[in-house]
Amino acid sequence: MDEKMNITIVYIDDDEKMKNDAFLDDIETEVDGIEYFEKPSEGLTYIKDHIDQNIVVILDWKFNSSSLQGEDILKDIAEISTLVPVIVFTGARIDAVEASKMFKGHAFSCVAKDATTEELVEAIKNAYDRIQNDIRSVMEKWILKQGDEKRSKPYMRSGDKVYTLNDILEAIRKQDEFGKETTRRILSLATELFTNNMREK
Amino acid sequence: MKLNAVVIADDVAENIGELCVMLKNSTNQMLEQFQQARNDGVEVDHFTYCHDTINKHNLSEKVSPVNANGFLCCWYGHGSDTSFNMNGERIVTTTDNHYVFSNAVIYTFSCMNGGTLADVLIDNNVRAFVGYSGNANCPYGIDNVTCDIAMSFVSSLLSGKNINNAVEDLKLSYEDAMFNEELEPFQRSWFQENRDGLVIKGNGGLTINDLLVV
Repeated sequence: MDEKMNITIVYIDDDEKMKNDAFLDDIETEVDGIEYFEKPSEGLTYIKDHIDQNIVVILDWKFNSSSLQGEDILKDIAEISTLVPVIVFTGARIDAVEASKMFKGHAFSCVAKDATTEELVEAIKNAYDRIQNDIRSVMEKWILKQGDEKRSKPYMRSGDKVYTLNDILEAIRKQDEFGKETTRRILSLATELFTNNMREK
Repeated sequence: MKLNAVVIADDVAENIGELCVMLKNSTNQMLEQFQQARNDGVEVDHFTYCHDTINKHNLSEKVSPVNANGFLCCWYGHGSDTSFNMNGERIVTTTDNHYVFSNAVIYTFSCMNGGTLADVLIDNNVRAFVGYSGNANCPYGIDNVTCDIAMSFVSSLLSGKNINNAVEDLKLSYEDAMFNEELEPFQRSWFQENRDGLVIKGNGGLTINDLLVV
């Protein structure tokens, strides 16, 4: 990749020596920046406060200095948005039970701490591709471009419900039933417009 | 010869009252234009009811005078799979006032009325029903677009096309909106959903001439 990836890495790991590990310097040349958090709660706050930016989270799985473990943090990130890719980065042995927890928690991928820097960068590139190409991320970006005032006004009436763009954004991020339905509709529209096979324009 | 038409619009429907008024006014305007355009002496008797003139108790009394023969009936307001509502009241349900619309061709812009309620109405001698099996979505700020689309059915039907063809025209209007790059992506997708939720029940081959009363 010639250009830097337009993402901020949020790295949450309570192993302080990782903060100064050389692999972070290598990654930093590939992305806009890296924010390191020893305390998971601070990392979560950062994600919440910068949710309008492209974020990829690198998350340790076993925490010694926090009651929160990787599984809990994954859930908390998914509560904020399921669109933030999380790469679990762990030195712990991952069995099938742990792997299942990761998948259920919307983890994007898992990289062992003894992997090479290239392997970790590859995982980050894959996460970046998803941000670029996932229709949900495209919808999120479109809504965020509309500005605060427009986003907070009533935008849609469907059934007996009224939705603002912020409501739609939240539904897309959390992928609740309305969010899934809205995503499905946009995909359906895109498919029809793209194939344009129903009639001559 | 005359055409009887009944327009029922919930002008105080939560969030969609103004749209319902637009739909009602446009329908009445089209009915007047229809009468003017006919050179064969056909007159239109159209009766318009809103929240202050119709409720579930008097609906039968209001509609019965025309239901011995064919008539056009348009509903604009909130609905569900089993009811059409006026001012929050379920004025037509699968068990209440479902028998009032004998001989009608019913056209609705309301959510989900094309499901169970439409089936019951057809069982009770409604000649044809056009509506939505899902939500009738209406994005804010572009009621004029939504109204124009919804009215394309009425316009086509009054021009002499049969119900099936008028619904095809309605679908084309939705498709125009789907392709309209001046509309926003979500708006376009909701119009697509409306198009896909359209249903015709009963005799789709009927034309407006089949409803004329001697």
